[in-house]
Amino acid sequence: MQPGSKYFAAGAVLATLGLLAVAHFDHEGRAWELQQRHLEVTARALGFAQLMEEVREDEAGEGLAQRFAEALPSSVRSVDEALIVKKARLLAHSDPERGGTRLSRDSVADKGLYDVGVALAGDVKKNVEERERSPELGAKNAFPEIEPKPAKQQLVAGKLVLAVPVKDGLRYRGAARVVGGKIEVRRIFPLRIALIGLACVVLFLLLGGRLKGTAQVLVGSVLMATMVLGQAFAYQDWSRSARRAHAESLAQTYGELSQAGLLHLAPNAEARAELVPQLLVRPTGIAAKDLVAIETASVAAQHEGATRIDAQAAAVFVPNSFLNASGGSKGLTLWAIAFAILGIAIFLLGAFGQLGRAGMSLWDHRSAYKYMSPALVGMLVLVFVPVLYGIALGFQKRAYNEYNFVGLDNFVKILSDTEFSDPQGFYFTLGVTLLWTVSNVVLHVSIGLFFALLLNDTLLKAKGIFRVLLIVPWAVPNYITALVWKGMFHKQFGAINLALQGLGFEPIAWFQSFWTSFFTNLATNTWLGFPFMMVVSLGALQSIPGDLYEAAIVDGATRWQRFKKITVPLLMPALVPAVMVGTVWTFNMFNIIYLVSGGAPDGATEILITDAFKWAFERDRYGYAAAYSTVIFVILILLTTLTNRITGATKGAFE
Amino acid sequence: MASLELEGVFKRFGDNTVVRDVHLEIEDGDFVVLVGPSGCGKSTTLRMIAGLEEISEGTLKIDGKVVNKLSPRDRDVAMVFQSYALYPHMTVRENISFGLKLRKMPQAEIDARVSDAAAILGLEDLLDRKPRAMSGGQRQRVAMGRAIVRQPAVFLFDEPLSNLDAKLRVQMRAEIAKLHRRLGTTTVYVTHDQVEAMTLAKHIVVMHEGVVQQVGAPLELYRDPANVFVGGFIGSPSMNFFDVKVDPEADKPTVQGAGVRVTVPDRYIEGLGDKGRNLVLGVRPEHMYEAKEPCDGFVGEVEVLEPLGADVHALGKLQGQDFTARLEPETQVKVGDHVQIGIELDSLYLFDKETGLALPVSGS
Repeated sequence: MQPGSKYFAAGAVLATLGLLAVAHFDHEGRAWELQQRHLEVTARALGFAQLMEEVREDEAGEGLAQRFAEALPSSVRSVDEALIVKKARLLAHSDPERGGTRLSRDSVADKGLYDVGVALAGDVKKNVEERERSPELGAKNAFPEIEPKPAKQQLVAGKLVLAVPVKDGLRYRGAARVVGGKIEVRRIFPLRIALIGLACVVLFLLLGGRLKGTAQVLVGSVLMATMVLGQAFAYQDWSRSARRAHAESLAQTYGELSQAGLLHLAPNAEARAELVPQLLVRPTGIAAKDLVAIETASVAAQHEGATRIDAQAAAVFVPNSFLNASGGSKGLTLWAIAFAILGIAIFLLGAFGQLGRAGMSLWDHRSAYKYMSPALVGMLVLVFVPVLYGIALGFQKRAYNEYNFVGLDNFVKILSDTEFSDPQGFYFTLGVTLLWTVSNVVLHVSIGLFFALLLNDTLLKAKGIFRVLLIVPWAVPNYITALVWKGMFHKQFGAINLALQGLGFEPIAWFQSFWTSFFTNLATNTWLGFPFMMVVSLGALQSIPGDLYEAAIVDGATRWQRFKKITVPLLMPALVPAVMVGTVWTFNMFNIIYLVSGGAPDGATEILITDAFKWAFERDRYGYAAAYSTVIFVILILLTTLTNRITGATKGAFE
Repeated sequence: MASLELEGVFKRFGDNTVVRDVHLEIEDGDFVVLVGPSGCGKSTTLRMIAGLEEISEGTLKIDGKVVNKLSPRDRDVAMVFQSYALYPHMTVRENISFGLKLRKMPQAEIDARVSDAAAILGLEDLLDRKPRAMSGGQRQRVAMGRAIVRQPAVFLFDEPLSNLDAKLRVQMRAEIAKLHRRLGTTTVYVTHDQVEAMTLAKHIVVMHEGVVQQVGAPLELYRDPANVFVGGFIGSPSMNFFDVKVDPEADKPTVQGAGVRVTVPDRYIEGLGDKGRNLVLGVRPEHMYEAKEPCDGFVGEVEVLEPLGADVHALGKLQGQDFTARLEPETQVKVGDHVQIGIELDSLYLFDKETGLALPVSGS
């Protein structure tokens, strides 16, 4: 085993152990905290304060949530006192100020709950007023101990909102599941984390062990970072699904609770049928509604035997809390990064003393770095930081002006959009982008090269004038050109349609169908793009020594053979990089698409970059847009690497 | 293999005539060197033969056939360029076989010819290299290889050695000579270096300002230069020229002027002309010697001494005119000395001052 591999393994083991420890404490101490708070608030709202107290007293290190979930179902049958009042509203109260924990409107985690609390407070107030108008509706105070201020108010009422958790809970797959009302967590995540670590070590032995020096350092570092981040993702995934399981369990509980309340309120079927449509329902997703409907129906059937409750109106109950099942633990990500750095540092320092050597070379060439530093700082601030920030943004989701880490969700969503024929869909847009890029670059190069060959001809007179004229499209700001062309393609007043009409043709509605609309973009961008290729080609042509052609003439080459065997190969070293640059430019040519066709019709001529723009600035989904941009970036890297590999552009013709 | 004939060939660029009325007959297997200072039209003449320049007037025949209007590919000529003009993106093998491939020659034949050429030029180990990775001499050889695989009727060389350093130039010169002996292909070779011309050529064509000055075998040109230009151009160091007059006073035919005084040898007496006629006296440095006592010649002040080992070149001034004399290696002459320089009467030349032409020679 090479020393490099040894130190890589050491770094990997240390990083893995560290991450496991953090995950362990994170699980015990932090990840459930929020959830427990929600449960507490919810339970209080539902009047289970007493039950809560019991659970709390009983608590001995076990998770509160789990205990609560276990305790709740058994008590549902005897909840006569559970907050059922007039008009079949399930009464409850969640007073933000008196909740089990203080809620902050400024925290993303609490915001949902806080809003619900405020809404509830409003409802309670309304109910109280209503009750004062019709005192005959008075009922007993369901839970005096959490009565809102002022204290003399006896009746509280509110609607409770079931939000995300049921929907997500139903869908969860993974580490935890509900068995008979209990949550069963499969604690496989430590194993997963360890396996990821092992896999990376093995991979390094296979790959990095053969490499030397810088390459090995690079591979090792990347592998180490990948490993730790992968482990962090695995943990996040595990913890998320565990929380979803809790959410589901709670949803079940509340479902049963509300059914009991319904039965209590209207013991016979007729009354209940009358009542049900009035129930205040705010389902937040089909899954939530369905769950409640099914639960309600089945319980009702059990109790009454005959009456079927309309599924649509069925949602009764409900917990007033969000269980934020999708939130992640930011702390863990930071820890993961810290451990990745630690692992890499051990690997580097131990294996190569590279750092020392790098330091030495830095010191040796310190004057050179001094001169480079302004440029380096510029690059750092203007290029690297924004790019890295953009990439990082892609792993987050924005809500209430805060960003939450959501792992690969954005990317998965983008790439799993398999509606290939949907003009708004990712793959359709990707296809358009590729078509757009290829057709543009082909036209740019062929037209540019054609003019370059003409301009390079020794017999051509007044070259200077032609050269200036041909460069003009390039010199004019491209948004002006774009607007001019857009005007020319106007259906009624555009120059092109007027010309067509003059020739006796029907005018064309350029922006109404995909191909004509695509053509308008293509024509505009070809006009803009060929001068660059022309200039590059011309420069390259002029650098080809004339005697090569003479030698070829004497060797017996025809004009075409000279072009094919001398001109083209010698143009390549200049042209291939230009084509690559042109490809990237065209791939990301925002202005033309945005200004000329604007994506018409129906976003069909949109390309990826304009789509990303729309996600960010029209739909306000910054995280998604950032992920979109990262995908574009990756596609471009792949594309250029591939081109480079195939054409060997960086090798050059002279080697 | 072929003979080559230029009849009254002119080349004009606009009003500028760069080649004027060139007549040449080059026999099959000949090695002809066109020599002259830059701008004398020698390269243009070569390019007209190659077909890279159009012939403005006159006819060019290859093997008796007029080829004025034929494109280079149909003339069956091969050319080696001053810059070698190797295709930088091709390997040596591809460079050499390019012309054959264009002619759709069978691959086996191409391979055979390439390996033959490579063997002749010692390029076997370099066939898969690109020009960039080779030295000047190697590139030069590749350029020649590209010409010889074609087995053309005529080889054309356009200053092929001028980009090489001096030592390599001598070596390649010998190789070109060897190559010609071996292949026997008719060759036209352009150079501005008279040493190359002397060593390589069977026949030298001296050109000046677009006009052929003299055609002949190297030693012919050395011994009997037709005019001042040829006399000055051929030979190294160059011939010394002194403006002289036929001395009206002397009893024996004598020319003198600018400090020089020489008795006219018998062979020139007949064509010497009137007394007082303006002439140019030409003497090669190797035909001067350090004399002990007054004789035919002059007394000049030595300004520079160039000891070359085998002999010493003394450079000096004689009444405003430069002279160069070759002295014996053991000479005691020092810079600043006034030395009596003698002139070998058998080897001096007299030219007419106005026309520049050599005076007619009688006898011998």
